[in-house]
Amino acid sequence: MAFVSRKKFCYFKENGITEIDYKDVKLLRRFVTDQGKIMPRRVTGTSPKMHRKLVRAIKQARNIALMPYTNTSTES
Amino acid sequence: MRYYETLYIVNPNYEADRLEAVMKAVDQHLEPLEGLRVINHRIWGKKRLAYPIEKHKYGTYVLLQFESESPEVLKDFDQFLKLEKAVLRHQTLRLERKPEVYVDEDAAGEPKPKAGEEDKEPKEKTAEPPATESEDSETQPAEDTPAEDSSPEAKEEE
Repeated sequence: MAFVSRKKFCYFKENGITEIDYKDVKLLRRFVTDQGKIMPRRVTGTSPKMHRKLVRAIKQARNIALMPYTNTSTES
Repeated sequence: MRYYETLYIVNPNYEADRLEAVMKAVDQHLEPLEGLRVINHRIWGKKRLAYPIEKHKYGTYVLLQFESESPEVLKDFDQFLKLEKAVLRHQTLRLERKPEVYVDEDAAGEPKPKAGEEDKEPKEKTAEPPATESEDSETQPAEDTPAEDSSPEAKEEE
């Protein structure tokens, strides 16, 4: 078959995480692209509830310069 | 009673003395306010900023957690931080529950638990007497914010 579906799962549900801290950059980094964009749910498989919390945490981290808004090649 | 957390970035060129002076100024600003109590106020560490702020590439992060009865004081505090020249940026958030009192020990020395290990941890705790349990819960949030975290991340970006 041409399309082999991978089993997707919510990372947070699997690990029993209910709150996402914006200071936990290591964790948040897994859910953004190299450019710093937030990955869509269809890619990460995150549950809707946790994705909303994740998005909020990433945006908070961006505001306080823990994460980039954009990460273009010109930087660093 | 509501709990708040403010993370602010101090100019990286401020050495220990001047940094302390800034923190003291913050403390002094909060002190006379009624119904407000500082829970934690500590330096989180000097980190590389994800993007430059006022042409600074690095910044000293200071984490402040406090409880307040009236939300009105936040407006004033926000204004104070805005006018404080040493503070490059600040962000105040409301916490869902009471933050743990940060214990200044070498909790950061522990390796950060991986995804699989986190699952095991709570189970192990239940087996232990409750006295140690409370200690564990105190060290856990500290693990999230070890100063050592910054160095590998900073390297990645370069």
